[in-house]
Amino acid sequence: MMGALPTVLKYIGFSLTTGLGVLGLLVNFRDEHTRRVTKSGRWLIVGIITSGLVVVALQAIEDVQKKKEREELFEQQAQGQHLLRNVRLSCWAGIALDDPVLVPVRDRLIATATRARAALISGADHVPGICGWGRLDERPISQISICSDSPFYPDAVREPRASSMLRAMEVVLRFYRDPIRVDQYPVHGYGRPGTDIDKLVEPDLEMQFLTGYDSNLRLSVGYDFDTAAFEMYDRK
Amino acid sequence: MKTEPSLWSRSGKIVSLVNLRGAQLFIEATPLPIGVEASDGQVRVAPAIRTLLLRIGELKGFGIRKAAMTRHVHTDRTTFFEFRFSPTMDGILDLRKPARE
Repeated sequence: MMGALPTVLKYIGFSLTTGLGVLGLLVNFRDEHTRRVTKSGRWLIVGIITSGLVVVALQAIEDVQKKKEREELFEQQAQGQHLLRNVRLSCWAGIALDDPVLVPVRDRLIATATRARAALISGADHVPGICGWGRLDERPISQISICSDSPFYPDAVREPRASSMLRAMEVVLRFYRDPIRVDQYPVHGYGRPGTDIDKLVEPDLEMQFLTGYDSNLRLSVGYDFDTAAFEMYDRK
Repeated sequence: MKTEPSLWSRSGKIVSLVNLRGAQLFIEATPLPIGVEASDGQVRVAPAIRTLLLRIGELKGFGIRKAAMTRHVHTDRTTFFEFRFSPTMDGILDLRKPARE
């Protein structure tokens, strides 16, 4: 219906213009004696104004349609340009190693990081078992990284549980095109205990990312001296 | 981190960056115990995500930082995070800029 409107308005505009042209030739729009606008003249003025409004309305509708077409075209092009393909993820996450099983590991990592920092500040350019360090501006080294191939990392044989928790990580991303309420979100894909499963909303897109399963993607743990906190991250 | 697109579940409503305008993202990060009995699962490490860097194709990485996320805690202490994408493409593309810290 909206698509036909400009065409209808166009014909109305043409008809009005033609009719008004003919009317202008046939009628006297001013009284010859008083020079006042006659009744026919008033109708002519109303017709001219109406015709003008039709043209303005027609132009406005065409402008809106063109804008919409441009936006749709942009949408199609952008959609094709930025497809969600070849997606990779890097993740930095803070971890609290306060579980009793992890406390010996935590203490060892802190001691290792402290020794490494002292060595680096003393001028060492390499510390065995350490895979990186960082600092902000000119401040002393504030972070030491210990990678999973370090002898200081939890040992898979002697510390199986600690080792297992720090060697592999899964990150799940769940996207919703139309936002949902948090209580509709299926945590772990299942929802909270006691929730009405019918109210849970499945994501429009769910991606799982894994690290720690092959030698190219391993987890590392960094210790930050400023915050006295650990951070886990994946590295190539 | 690696992902296997054939294992993604999808409704078809999100296929490109354009579809992320105004979208909502939930993030769960969990350590994966390997070779540990289920009964040993009492060990708890709850990663608190600080930064995610999502790389799509050849585009520069999209950074989602802690300050832009809302943290939720499940009754079983599982932590998950919520992020809302900008309603505009410019806003989404701005995620590729380095954070001002």
